Formats: sequence, C-alpha cells, structure tokens
Amino acid sequence: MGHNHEHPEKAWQAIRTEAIESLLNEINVLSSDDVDQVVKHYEENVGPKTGARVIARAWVDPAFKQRLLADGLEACKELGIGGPETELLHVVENTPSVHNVVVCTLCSCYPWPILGLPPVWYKSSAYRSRLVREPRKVLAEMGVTLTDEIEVRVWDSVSEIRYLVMPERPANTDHLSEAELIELISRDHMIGVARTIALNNQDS
Amino acid sequence: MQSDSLATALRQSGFENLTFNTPWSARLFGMTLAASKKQLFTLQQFQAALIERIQAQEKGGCITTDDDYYSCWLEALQGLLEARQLLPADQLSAREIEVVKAGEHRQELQRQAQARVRPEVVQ
Repeated sequence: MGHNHEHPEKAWQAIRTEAIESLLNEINVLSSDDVDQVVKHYEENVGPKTGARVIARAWVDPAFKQRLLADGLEACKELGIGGPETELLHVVENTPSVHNVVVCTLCSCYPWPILGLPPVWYKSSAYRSRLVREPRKVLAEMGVTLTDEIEVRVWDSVSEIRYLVMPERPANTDHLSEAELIELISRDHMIGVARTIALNNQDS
Repeated sequence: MQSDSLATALRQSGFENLTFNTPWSARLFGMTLAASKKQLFTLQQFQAALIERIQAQEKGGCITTDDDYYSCWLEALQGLLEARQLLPADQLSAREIEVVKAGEHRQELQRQAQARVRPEVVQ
C-alpha cells in the first residue's frame, strides 16, 4: 500500500458498517433510504429542546405536571412527542431537598425521543460505574456541589424505564413566557448533572 | 482510566454538541433503528446484545470515547444479524474487502481528476 501516507486508512468500524449496510440493501431487508430517514430525523429534529418543552410546560401548567409525573409517556403524547422507540418514561422532580440524576449502568439507555442522543461522557465506563458508587463526588466534578441536607437519588435506566429529571423552576421567572423558560433548560439539567438554572438576564 | 475530573476529561473531547461524531456511527445508529422498525429484531433484543458486548469489553478496558462505545454497538448489531442468518460471515469479510477496494478506486479517480478541476458549464 504505497499511498498510505497520503490516504489514512479507513477505520475498521467504517468499513464493516458500510459492508453490513450494503449486504442488507442487497437482500432487500433494509434500504439506504430507511437508514437516511432515521439519521436525518435524529440530526435535525430530535434534541434536548424537546425535553425542555416538556419541562417548561410542566412549570406553567400544574395539571400537566401532575399528568407528566403520573405517566411521562402519555403526557408527552399530548405535546406530540414520542415514537416507536420510546420506552416508559418516568419523570423525577428536583426539590429544594432532593436532587435526581440519571445513569445507565449497563449500557447507555437514554430517552432518545425526548433528549436526542446521549453525550459521550454518559456512555463512558467512568460515569456509568462511578455515579452509583460516589454520586456526590461525580456530581461535584461535573459542577454540582450539594450540601449534605440535599438527598441525591440516582436512577439507573437498566429496565424498560427511561428517566427524565424535572429541574426546579428558578425563582423570579413568573414574568417569563413558556418559550423563554424553554431556553433556560439544558440537556444536563434533565440528566441531573446540572442543578442551578441561570437566568439569561440578571434583573436583580 | 478513572479520571479525577470526569467532566473536564470527557467534555474536552470536543464533540459535545454533535449528534454523531463519525459518519459510520450515524449509519450504524440509523441501521439499527430502521432494522427494528422492520422487525428484524426488537430494540429490547438489541439492548440485551449491547449490554452483553459492553460487559465483555469492560472486562479488558474502559469505554472512554464515542468510538469505543459505537464499536460495541457495531459488534452487537453484527451478532444479532448473524444470529438471524441475515449476515453470512464469509460474505461480510468479502464485502469488507470490496468496500476498501472501492474506496481506493474512488480516491484514485479523484487524484486523476485533480488536473481537470473546472466548471462543467460557464455562462
């Protein structure tokens, strides 16, 4: 292979993935269009903003919040959110004395249709093994320092259930619209590796 | 590797806001969901295969990058398809060789075409 220095070799994963896709194409079990559609949907439509819509609605609509806490998936359907890959969704609420955080110790289960795809660290061995052993330490490393009075609840998505953290609505946000509230909520808040919600405008 | 500071170590990867880090991980993810929609297997079956693969991987090391993780995903998918007779092992290795050759061929054509980089039509 005399040209290797000019053309770095393709990763074995890329080669195998392409080979599998082409074989499945050939025997007509899967078309590239099918694959394109999924990828496009996840790249363009699905992301943490969807989860933020759910949380902001719960903040402004107490009846919706009750329905969401009772049955996450049913409540999300009211907002047109869901899909065949949605598992049971259990929403856990942060309070002044409770902080919730989500992990998948065995693989990387994650509420895809609500939050998009998980970040790299969520899938890492370090996060998955350490969060259950030393949650306060891991959270502190990720920027969430909790006093002893605050109870930490770690939710493991190993079963058929996916978890979504509902952060507390920050004080002094009564004047904000639902759309403005959505902007305050990040993916990390909904995984539970962020707790404080910063207001965009510091109107003291 | 157990980082003292998980957040910094992992967030420095620089891919925080990309849906997929590599084109192949996007295709792999898309294939898996599309295959489950076509009922070649259920997502629960895939999840079980992925868990098994990750456990095997973590006996010898850690998952720290997206590539580590999606490599497990790839092997899990491959295993499921093989178990369903959708992917004869000999065909897969032959096809991999073809994929590499086709890639080299495309690169060769691109190199040859370099001298002819010009618009097809100018009006």
